[in-house]
Amino acid sequence: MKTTLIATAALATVLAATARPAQAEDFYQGKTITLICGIAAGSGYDINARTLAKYMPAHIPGHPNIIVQNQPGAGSITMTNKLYNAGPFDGLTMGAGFGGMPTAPLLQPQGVRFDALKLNWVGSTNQEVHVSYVWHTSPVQSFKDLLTKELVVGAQAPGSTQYDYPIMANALFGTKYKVIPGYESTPAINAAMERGEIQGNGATAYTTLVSLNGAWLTEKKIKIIMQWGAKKVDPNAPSALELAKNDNDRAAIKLVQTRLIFGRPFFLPPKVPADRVAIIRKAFDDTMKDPGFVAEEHKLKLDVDWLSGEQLTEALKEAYATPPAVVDRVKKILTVK
Amino acid sequence: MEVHILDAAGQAFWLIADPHRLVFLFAGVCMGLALGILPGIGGVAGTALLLPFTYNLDAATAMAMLLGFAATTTTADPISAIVLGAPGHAASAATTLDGYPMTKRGEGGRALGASYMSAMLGGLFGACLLGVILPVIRPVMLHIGAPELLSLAVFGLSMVATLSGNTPLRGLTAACFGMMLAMIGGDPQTSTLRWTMDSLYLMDGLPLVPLTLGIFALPELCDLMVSRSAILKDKTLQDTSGGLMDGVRDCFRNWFLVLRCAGLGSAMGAVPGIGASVIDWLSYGHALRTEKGAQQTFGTGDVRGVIAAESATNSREGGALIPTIVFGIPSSPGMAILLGAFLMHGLVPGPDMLTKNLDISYAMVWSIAIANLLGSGLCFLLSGQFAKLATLRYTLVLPVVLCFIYIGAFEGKRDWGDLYTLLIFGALGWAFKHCKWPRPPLVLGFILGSALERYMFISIERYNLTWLTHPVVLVMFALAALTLLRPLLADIRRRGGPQAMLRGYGRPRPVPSALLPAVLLVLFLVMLSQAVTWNTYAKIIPLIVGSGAAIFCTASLVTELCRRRANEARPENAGNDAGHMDVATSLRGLSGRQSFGRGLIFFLYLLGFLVSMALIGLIPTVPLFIVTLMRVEGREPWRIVLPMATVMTLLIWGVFDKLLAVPWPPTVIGDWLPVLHAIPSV
Repeated sequence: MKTTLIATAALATVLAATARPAQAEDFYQGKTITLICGIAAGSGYDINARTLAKYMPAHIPGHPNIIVQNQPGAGSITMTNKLYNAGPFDGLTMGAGFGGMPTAPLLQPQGVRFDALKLNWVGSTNQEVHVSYVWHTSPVQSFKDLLTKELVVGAQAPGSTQYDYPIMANALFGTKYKVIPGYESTPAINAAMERGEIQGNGATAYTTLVSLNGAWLTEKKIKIIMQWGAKKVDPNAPSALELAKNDNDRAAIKLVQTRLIFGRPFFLPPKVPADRVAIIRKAFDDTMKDPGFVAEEHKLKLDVDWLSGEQLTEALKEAYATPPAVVDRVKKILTVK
Repeated sequence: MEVHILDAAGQAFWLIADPHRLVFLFAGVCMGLALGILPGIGGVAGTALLLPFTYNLDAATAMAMLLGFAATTTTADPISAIVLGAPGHAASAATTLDGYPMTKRGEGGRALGASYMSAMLGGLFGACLLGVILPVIRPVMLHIGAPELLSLAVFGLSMVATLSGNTPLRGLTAACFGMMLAMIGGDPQTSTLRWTMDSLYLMDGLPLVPLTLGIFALPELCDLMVSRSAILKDKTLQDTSGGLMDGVRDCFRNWFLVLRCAGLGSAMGAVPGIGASVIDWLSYGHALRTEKGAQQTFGTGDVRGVIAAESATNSREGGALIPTIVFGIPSSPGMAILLGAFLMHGLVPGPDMLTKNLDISYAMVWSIAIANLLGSGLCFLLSGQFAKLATLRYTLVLPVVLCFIYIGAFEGKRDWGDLYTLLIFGALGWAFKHCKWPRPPLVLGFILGSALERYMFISIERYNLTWLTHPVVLVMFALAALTLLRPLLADIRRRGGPQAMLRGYGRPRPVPSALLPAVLLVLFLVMLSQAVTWNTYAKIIPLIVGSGAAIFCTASLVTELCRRRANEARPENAGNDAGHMDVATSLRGLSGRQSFGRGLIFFLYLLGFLVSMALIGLIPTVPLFIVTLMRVEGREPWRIVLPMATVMTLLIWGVFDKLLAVPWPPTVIGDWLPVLHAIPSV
């Protein structure tokens, strides 16, 4: 009797021990993952998040359901604050934020209550290149012109690339952008350019330009005069990194371009068990290679130019290792006088 | 060209007439009506909800469903405004002014009939207008820049004079206050955080939904509680059956009014930043100015007030589509989501929609037209029952409506701040109502204030002062001056000129009604003192508007303290509810102390709801709240209480937790015992 008991106990221990590694694999079986999007429903970011939510379950062991909730506010800082501080930290809640959110603690710390380095980055579906473009009747038609003639560009508000990048260019390269903030949206800026109220756009995502006004490029209604980002979309326009005169400038540009690397990032809150983070990261990577996902993103006029969670974490570490003097310089340039 | 357009319009009709698409259109309409009836739940949440369902539909079908929904949320919206006096959405706030008194008189059916019919006519007008001008509007729109939009906002603001009734100073104070509220949050020029009290919630500004629900809906519900009776006390007055047709006849008798207001509604609908919540007031103000005898009868249950507000609100959708289709500029949050649908279905707003995809554009026109016919038709069929709601005991109506108002407000930003906003502005709205301060100017200022600041800066930065000579700007400014000054001068004349008015003043005496302007004045001074420290560009407009508010408020305060009471006895001041631009209160026969006490109990109930929500979550709070309110206030029998609590809880759980996937805020017991997270919203 006693031996049977001991044998059973031993067997149970062995079973439990062998079962343990499998536990995380089973964890998502029959569960629902909530993906909280920090940007309003119907926006490009939201549709991107919903597309991911549609294809990712097939790549997670146990095929959990993923539902998308929207909690817009303060450039997705509201959502990130909430997930960082209140969780849940069980790996069943993910966040989708703006590309600018990870560096907000460094550059625009007002209201930020999270440490971006402690978030578990899952990946980003799209790296971005932002372009500055001019209407075909504008007196400025090239980057060279921009050094001698004023270019009136529209923007939403300080803190957006539309405002911050041209101001950076003025400070670093001596360009003559005049930025008029106050427009409600990028389409409103484009319409203002078409009717001659402004002459161009200081910096807007190339994908946005293509999806909203792709015809302007082919009909030569607009011309790209400079670009921001790790890659180039137009071989004829200089990129900010090419224009940098020294390492100091390069460090400043890299810092403000971190948001482009992050593009459309997804993350898990801190304190989530490491094995679950690993599962979600792998599922994300696999989804990025899923032909169905790629085709659907293509239909939305987005190119899947993805980065893994590990790559995002590296990029973020680099950004936070920027010398304080450079950070201060960037903040000083971007502070509205 | 013309043949080509007619061709496209014809093709589009057959596209929509496809039974498969009609079914989806009809589904959209049914959802629009269902969500429209619920007070507090607007079209934006619903459109967002429908969006994923359109994923696998073709573009025309998706648009039919979304527009079927968007075009009809405002058709059913006036039901709660007319029958309960609580506008479920800002778009029907103006309808309350005349619709609710009609219900109290037993003419609820007539008011509903008039509102559906004018909604339908307005909607059809909007669709026709869109169809006619769509092919030619793009070049015209290219002439409308920041200065022109600025002048439109100024013109809209000038309506404050009309909407202030016979209390212009209070109206101007309220309008300036509304503009100050609009400036809360990061400013577009410098991103300075203005009046945010260091809260993240206010960084993007106050959301409209909880603000308007607080200002317009809560005070009416509070008075229902205070009066402790059904809205329609005498059931024999009920006229629902014949009344509907009376309302329809009223509409056709006033066809020219419908036409004017629908024109105004679609034109304003096309202007970004001027949403449905202002359009109804602008149209109401227009009718008040131009209709014969309106000054005496509007606000006391004149069916023309209902017609003016509803025809304009529903014609808006046609107008709002114009900038959306031709430039991709959304003129309302609902349209922003529609643009998401464009993106999903590979449609690019802009010139393509007028050439390559013209048939889709016209399919949208037909969708709006058909949706309006279906929507109003369904309302006619079903609404005899709705008017009867007014005869129910208050303890049956209040708990249900209040639950929806809470959740509706929470849809603002899905944050605790929404509920604080609701309560603060509910109390303010109640004070405004009972001190006879006009509420519409506050909302007008709130919505137009931010547009005004935005476009003024762009105009000045771009054109210096030359924009003042643009022809549209000149015309609109002249119209605005006329709209603003005429009623003010008329008011002065009516009071016997400035000298007679001054003679009406005497030694100051402390009166309780001076409390409201005194409190407001202190608030304005505090806000001004904070504004002084901001960046020049961030503070210039807030300082101007804030000083205006302080000056007008001081003048109101002085008037309150010093005006001789003898004036009150004059016929045009005493008991003339039409003059103060608000629903007549039904609290006659109650002492001030009694009504204040009961009002306080009402707000304590609301606070209790908040506390319970923080402790145990929103969904468990719903049955608790319903049971408490019904048992304690009305001693309703358990056989009514329990089914009602169960049905409401299930409904709210199904719609908001399951369908809309609302992210609930964390709760105390949820943090304490994480196992309880299994219960929805804990």
